[in-house]
Amino acid sequence: MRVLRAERRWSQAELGERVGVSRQAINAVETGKHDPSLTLAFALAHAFELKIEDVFDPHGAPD
Amino acid sequence: MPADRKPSANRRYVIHFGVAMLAYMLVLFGSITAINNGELSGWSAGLASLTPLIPAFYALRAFIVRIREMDEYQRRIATEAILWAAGIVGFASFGYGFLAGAVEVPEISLIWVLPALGGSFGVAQCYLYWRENR
Repeated sequence: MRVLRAERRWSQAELGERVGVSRQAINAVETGKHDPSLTLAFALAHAFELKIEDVFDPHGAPD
Repeated sequence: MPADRKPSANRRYVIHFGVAMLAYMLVLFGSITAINNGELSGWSAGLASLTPLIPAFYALRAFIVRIREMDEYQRRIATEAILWAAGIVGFASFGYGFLAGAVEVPEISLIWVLPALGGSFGVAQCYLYWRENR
């Protein structure tokens, strides 16, 4: 997810604003310290204009 | 929740909590003054002594509303901090009770339970954010 965000030159705060969560929440998801809810995972995928499975690997850590 | 509500949610909390604390101090001062002046006695003094609970409940409501408005990550941290605070204060009072049954220890007023909960919550929340972001 960090890579996808960097490709779009978004800061963690900017991505957080787009999906309605705090910068800390984005950081926690990116570092694997917080497993996002389905709602947040879909919101993140929507922000990147990707499918949810293109953003999150169900078998491992967040991309 | 839309992102543009985040800053105003926090500001709203600070305002409501601040108003509650100001009201608490005023009501506390008023009730202590009325009781100490001997204007009240018996049940009326007892009721007056409980009036500071009204603004305290308002502060609790502001806190609960703020928790509801947090995002899922902030809420997880806050919930864990509340559990730590309840555990710390609960075990401390439990242990002190055992101690008081065995040896001579100073009597501690129950009025310190709520400030201890609030303080423990604040420390636990700071620690949890620090642990997550180190």
